[in-house]
Formats: sequence, structure tokens, C-alpha cells
Amino acid sequence: MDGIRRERLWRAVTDSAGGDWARGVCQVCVAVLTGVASAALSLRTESRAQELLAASDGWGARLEEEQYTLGEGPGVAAFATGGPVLVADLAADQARWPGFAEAALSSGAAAAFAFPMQVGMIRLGTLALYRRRPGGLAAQSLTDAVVLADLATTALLRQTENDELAGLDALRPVNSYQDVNVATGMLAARLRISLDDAFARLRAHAFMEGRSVLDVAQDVVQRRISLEFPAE
Amino acid sequence: MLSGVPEQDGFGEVLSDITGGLVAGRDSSTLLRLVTDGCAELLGVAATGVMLVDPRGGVEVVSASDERARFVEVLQSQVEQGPCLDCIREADVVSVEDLEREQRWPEFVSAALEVGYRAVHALPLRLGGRAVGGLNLLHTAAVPFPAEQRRWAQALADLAVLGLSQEPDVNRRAERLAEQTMTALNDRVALGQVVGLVAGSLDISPERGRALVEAHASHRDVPLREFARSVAEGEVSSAEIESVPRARERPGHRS
Repeated sequence: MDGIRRERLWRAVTDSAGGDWARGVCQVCVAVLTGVASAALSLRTESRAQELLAASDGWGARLEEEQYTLGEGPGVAAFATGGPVLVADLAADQARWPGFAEAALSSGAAAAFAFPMQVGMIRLGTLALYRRRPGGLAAQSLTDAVVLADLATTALLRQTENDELAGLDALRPVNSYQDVNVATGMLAARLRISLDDAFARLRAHAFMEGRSVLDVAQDVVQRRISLEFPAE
Repeated sequence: MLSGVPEQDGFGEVLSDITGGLVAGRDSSTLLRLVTDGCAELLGVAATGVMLVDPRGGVEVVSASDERARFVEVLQSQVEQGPCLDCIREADVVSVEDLEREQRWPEFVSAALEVGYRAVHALPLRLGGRAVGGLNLLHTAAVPFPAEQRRWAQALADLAVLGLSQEPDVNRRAERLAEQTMTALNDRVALGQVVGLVAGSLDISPERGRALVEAHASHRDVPLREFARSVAEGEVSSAEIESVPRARERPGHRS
């Protein structure tokens, strides 16, 4: 029974988005999960780096970017704990992630859910779902979301394997945040601080200016802004 | 080698490589490689590929003698329909001597012809009376599949199954791939950071920083990702990368 549902969801994924499974998963989430307005798949690392695999729209992509800038939010939490994170009412639950809640609410999000993409103990990223109205996921939608996160994981592994067979570099995300990593390295060298500290400083700067960490990173990389931030 | 009668000596050598690998407990992907390479070598086949039934549904390519993307794509075009899929379904050999005269599986046939294959023979990987996968043998000329070749090929297919059934844990493969995915992501991050470190400390553009990192990696003859990781982890200092390595080691490294 579950297998048939799973098969059906996978068919829906492969039938949409012209063979791009990651985008397909996001589109199917929005089409199938009741009340879900946007979905995004992010790869994440323990060092808090992020890459966007796909999002159903720009809004979902920006909400993922907010979490990158702020270092908090449902995706960050689901990745850290390895379990689903369900916030049916962001306004009522602001204390959990004050920064993210504020940014998300002001952009029109009212509820957020995230599911880890994982194999055994190895975590690779998250599937995030956003709603514009408060409310939890219905039982069937919750089950489907878990299955979709698992299908995304399977497809990701398959892609890794096919890339390996074809001699290609693994992982080619649609929205690469590689500039953030380059900017982190540049800051670390210039300020003679560790990579972790440099990343924290980059994010702090973005937060202070109300911009995304990617925006600030691009300024750093293209040397549009000075690397010497005011002392902490 | 001309297609036709396999060479007995060569077969002995391939066979002992594979059985030796089995006895030594080599992992299944290494054994599959030995089998696909063996087919290419012994059966005069242009390319071979193994597809396996995924317990979660569908079939997937797990090994290919020719790793070029286009060949893997030809194999993958059978995910919906194709000779290998039929061979798995029927647990029997499906042999197409001339793809140009084949009416079935239009998608697969056109993908295969486009890349230059003319014949395909698919053998089932049998385990306990059912097919768990299929071995594809592709030729660049129209050729029949004589009984003797079929026997050699089936022997290699059976060895492939032995290799697969040795895998102690089915989940092991998924975990290995997950580790690989995670490593690839971490390596990407490290490479970006190292490019930034070099660019920042030398006050050069990231593009030039990247070129310098690439030049050093190739000068030391280590993969770029591995080199980046060793810099990020402090095994190689960014000061060591400040100068361009001796030229003319690897031509064509300008940007």
C-alpha cells in the first residue's frame, strides 16, 4: 500500500520538471501537500555551508537563503537533529528562532516544516515546506512529505552514482553559494582569523545590513566592499 | 580483438581475476568492474553495462565499461523500456542482432544507434530463479549471438551475481554513496574557501586564486579536491601556494 503511494509520488516527480528530479520533488510537494505554498531542497554540511538543489519558486529559495544568513531555522534544525521539524504557527513560536521567524513572517510565511535527507547516520540536507497561512500538515501530507524527502535522498544518491560513472563532478546545484565559501576564505586570509570566525563575521555583517549572506559574499569577492569590517 | 571466438587463455586470466576477487572479499563495485571489463576484453564487445533491480522500484545502471556520459545515457534510456528491461522481466536472454531493423523500444534504439551501436545482447543476472539485474553487451556492428559466446557471457553474468550477493548489507551501497555525496559537498566548500584564502593573502582575484590552486594541485599530481582539503586542514600552508609552481610541467595552465 505504502509502496504504491511511493511509486505514484515518484512517477509524479519524474513526470514533472523535464527530468530535473530536484525541481520535480519541489513541484510535487506544492501540488500534493495540502496548504504548502513553496518547497525547497537544500544540501547542508556540518560546517553550516549550504547549497540550493531546487526550489519551487523564488520565495522558497529566499527563505532558505535567510537560514544560511542567520544560521537558524527549520532546515538548520532538522539537519542538526536528524528529525522532522514542524512549526504550524511561526508567529506563536517566535522564540525558537527569533531572527528567522521575523524574516519569514515579514516575507509572508506563516508555517514552516523541514525533513532531513539522510541515509542511516549520514545527513545530506533538508526538504523544507512553507505555508502562507498558519496550520499543521494533515496526516496524509505529513506521510507524503516524509516519502518525498526519502525519494529526494534516493535520487540524490543515484545522481552521485551516475555522475561518478560518467566521470563528472558530483553535485551541480542550481544555485551555488560557492561565493560564500570564497568570501569566507578571503576574509580569513585578510583578517588572519579562522575560517569559522570569518564565516561568522560574514553572516554578522549581512545580518546587520539586513542583506543575505550571498549578497555580501558577492560584494567581498568582487571587492566592492572593504574586507576590514569594524572591530567586533 | 575481432568479435567471434573468445580466447581461452584470456578467459582463464579474467576468470582467475574475478574469482580471486571474490575469495578476497572485494566489494561488489570492484567485482562488477572486473566482470564488465572482462566482457569487453573476451567477448569482443564494444561496451558493457550492468543494470540492477532497485528494491525500492525501477532499475538502475550500476556499472559500465565505458564511463563516458553518453554511453551511460544509452543504458539509462532503458529505464522505462529496452532489451535489458525485457531480459530482466523474462529472466531470459534478449538478443538484437541488428538495431537498425528493430521495431521495439524506439527510445533505446535511437539512443544506441546515435552513439554508434548496432547490436545488443542482454543476459539476466539470475539469483534464486529470478532476475535481479541484467548484463548488456553492445557491439558497433550487427552481430549474432552464437551459443558458445552466450555460454561465456552467462558465466561472467553468474560471477557478477556472486559478487553482488557477497555484499553483506544491501544498505552498505546506499551508505557508501551517501558518504560520497557528503564528501563531494564538503570538498566543494573546502575548495571555495581555499581559493578565497589564496586570493585574500595574495591580494589577487578569486579567478587567479583558483588558477593558482589548480596549478599547484596538478603540479603535485593530486586531485584538486584532495589538494584543497589538505590546504583547508592546514597540511599545506597557503604561503606555499603563493608562487606559481615551476612552469612547463603541465602545459596550458593559464586561467
